[in-house]
Amino acid sequence: MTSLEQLAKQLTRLPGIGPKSASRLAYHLIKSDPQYNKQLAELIASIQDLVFPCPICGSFTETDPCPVCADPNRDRSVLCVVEQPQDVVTIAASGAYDGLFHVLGGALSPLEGIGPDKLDFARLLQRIEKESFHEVIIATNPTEEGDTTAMYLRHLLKGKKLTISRLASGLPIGGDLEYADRLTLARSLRGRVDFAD
Amino acid sequence: MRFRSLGFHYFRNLADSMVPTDAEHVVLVGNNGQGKTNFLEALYVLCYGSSFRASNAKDMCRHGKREFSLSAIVALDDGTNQQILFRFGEGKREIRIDGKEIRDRRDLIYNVPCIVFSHDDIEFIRGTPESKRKFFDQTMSMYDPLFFDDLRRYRSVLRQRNAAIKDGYASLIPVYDVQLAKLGMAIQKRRAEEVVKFNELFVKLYQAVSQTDERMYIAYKPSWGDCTTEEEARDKLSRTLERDLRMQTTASGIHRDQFIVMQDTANFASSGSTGQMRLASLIFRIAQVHSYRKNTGKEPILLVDDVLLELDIRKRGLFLSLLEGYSQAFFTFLPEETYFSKVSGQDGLTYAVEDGTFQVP
Ligand SMILES: [Zn+2]
Repeated sequence: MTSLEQLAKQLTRLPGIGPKSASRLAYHLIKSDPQYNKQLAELIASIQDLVFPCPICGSFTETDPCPVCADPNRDRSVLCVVEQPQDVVTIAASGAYDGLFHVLGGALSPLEGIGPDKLDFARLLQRIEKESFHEVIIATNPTEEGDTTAMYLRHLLKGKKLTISRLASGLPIGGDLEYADRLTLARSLRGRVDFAD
Repeated sequence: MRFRSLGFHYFRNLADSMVPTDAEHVVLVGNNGQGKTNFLEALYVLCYGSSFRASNAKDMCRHGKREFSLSAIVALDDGTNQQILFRFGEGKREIRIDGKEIRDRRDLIYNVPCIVFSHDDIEFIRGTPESKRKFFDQTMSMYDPLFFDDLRRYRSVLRQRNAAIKDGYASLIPVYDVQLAKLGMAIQKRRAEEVVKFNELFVKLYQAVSQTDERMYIAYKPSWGDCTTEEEARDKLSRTLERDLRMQTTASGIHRDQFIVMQDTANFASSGSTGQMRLASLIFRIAQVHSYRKNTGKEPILLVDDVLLELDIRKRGLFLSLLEGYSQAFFTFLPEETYFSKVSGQDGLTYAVEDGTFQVP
């Protein structure tokens, strides 16, 4: 295998990169400014040393603890539980939330081998014991796995003196054909009672 | 709604071509193995994104090829044209409507509704409980997106619950039970309603075509027949959890429901003759057409594959007279068959099918 082929093959391991895109990227890198390639390579090599999960909330950070956990101006009575570190960035960037976060690291899916033992529920429960939250907002994704994770969490938190809410989701439906609107309407008319425990 | 033309590339034995189909009735005449059913299959794939006989898209490639594509122009009810494209290659399928990629199959299945009449339909009468569920689920999904969605979610939750049972994630099972009970009871309620409506149609249609007064009907036997609420279904799941753990699968639920075709008080699957069952399966499809039109006010496209062959001339006439309320129909015939003026009349197109080509005779 040539070096070019090797590079393309490694690139196909990245999410969303098929053989065609990988080959295009590899050719692009051959023709790029050598300085750029060097910087890119160094950044890739060191990224895991520079960025690590915050030991408190699990979001990616370069400082310990992360800027959100360290920020004295945030509301420490509200905790927002999300699936992935990227979700913290999205919700924080919305500007509509000034509480703290907790990253589970995924959503429950036994089919993919993800049971409760694979997600960070243990540390979440410890935080809820130690810190003084009044409200937990469950902001897992509006997918079947996300809903299951939310219901499971709700189950875990049963009996604790907390207000528990599920982040209201808009239109989680992929397509934009007429059908999507009809379905959303139908669902909202029927009313969702997932959280009537 | 009507297919105005259909194009093939590397599809089965069909020659790469674009075949005009702009008529209410399109009749394909030819010997077996020439490509009539392949033509219907192509239409079906453009409607639903999958075949009614091949489970793997790869099997639809021409011999020696690893890709194929299909395209069609559809005249919509509002007078505009739509282009549908289906492409398979590198193990992936791609579906586009007017150039826009469709990522979720449910955005496709409500686009062009079609109903296929085929030999395999007899399985709806004499086949496994699963094939019978499939018929009713399809009938309802065609006009009820919420039902289709509930069914899809139910199956997905069921797979997760079964995986949780196998992997020993006992703490997750109550969470799945809540979801299964909720979706399952909604499905059970809808199936029960559908069977009542279906029976009204089926009894009359069967008597009309068979010219008898035999009372044929569907008996619906839900797995959770003793439950009327979500709570009861949830209780049932938790009561039978021990058995599920022992069997390593979820042994009760709407995926175990039964639809039994009854001839008065007998199970028709054992009492009926093959001829009677074939006739009953045609009537299932006619009832499906009626149900679709009644619930949506729209007319489906019909693909009628060789099924008239086994009916005598009189039943054939009766069958065709009951077949109404469609926007376009495709029929396949053998060369020696006499077909009726209804399907070859004014707004009709006839093709002689030979070795994957379509000629106007
Ligand atoms: Zn943190």
